[in-house]
Amino acid sequence: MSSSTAQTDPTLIDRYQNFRTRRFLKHERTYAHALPRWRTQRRRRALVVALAVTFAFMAVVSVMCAFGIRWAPLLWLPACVLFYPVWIVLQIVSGRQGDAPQAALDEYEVQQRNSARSIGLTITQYLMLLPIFYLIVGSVITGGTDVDMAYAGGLMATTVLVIGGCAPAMILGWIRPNPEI
Amino acid sequence: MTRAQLAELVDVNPQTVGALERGDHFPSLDLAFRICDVFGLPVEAVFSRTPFAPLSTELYRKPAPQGGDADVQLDRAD
Repeated sequence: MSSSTAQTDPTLIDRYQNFRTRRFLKHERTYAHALPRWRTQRRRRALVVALAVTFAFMAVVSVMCAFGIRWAPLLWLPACVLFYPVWIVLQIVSGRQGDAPQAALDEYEVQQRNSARSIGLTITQYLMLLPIFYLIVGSVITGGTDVDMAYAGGLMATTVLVIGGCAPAMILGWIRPNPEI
Repeated sequence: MTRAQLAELVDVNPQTVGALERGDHFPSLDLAFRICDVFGLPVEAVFSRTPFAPLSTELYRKPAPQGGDADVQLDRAD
């Protein structure tokens, strides 16, 4: 006779998801009332645009590195200085719904999060083709001897991964209406 | 009752209540029953695929005339 309690025992995944949910809710309580003026849709969209500009700057830096400009890698530092504050603020004011565990969201939020993640994955897949083809074709042409190309390819891949990782939060930050009063 | 109050009672985000009102989101059966429990009404009294008519229309609708509108015909004068 099979035990019915065996099915209700939490698995490792369940326990990890419960841990994630508790940690998420703890952070949510901490930042629930932070930056109230930045929670409007207009301000959130401004943050999304600022992030998009930062990503464009990162892409330009990676292309400059591909052309072998010696000081171009230094421009990655101001790109990071721009990225981190904007990203952190966007995460706080949008409630980190892009990477929230399912148990912390209601059904409509889960539906929106899944749609945003799906779009983010699609963006990542298509954009990742650019550094992949650049590295494959470039390595064939140069015989794998161009250090600048390898460095630039790494920066391009990093940029694409950051774009794809941020895309769900950017989409949700853009589409969510103003908070209910 | 405000959206925020209803949202708290059924354990969802107030924006989700707004999405339900606008028709942007169709609730699960569980959420629909939770909302109906709050109002103490059956599902068909709270949710409908078509917009509800005003309550006064529902209560004081005039009975249809005998024979119905289908029997009314206009004669064309030649």
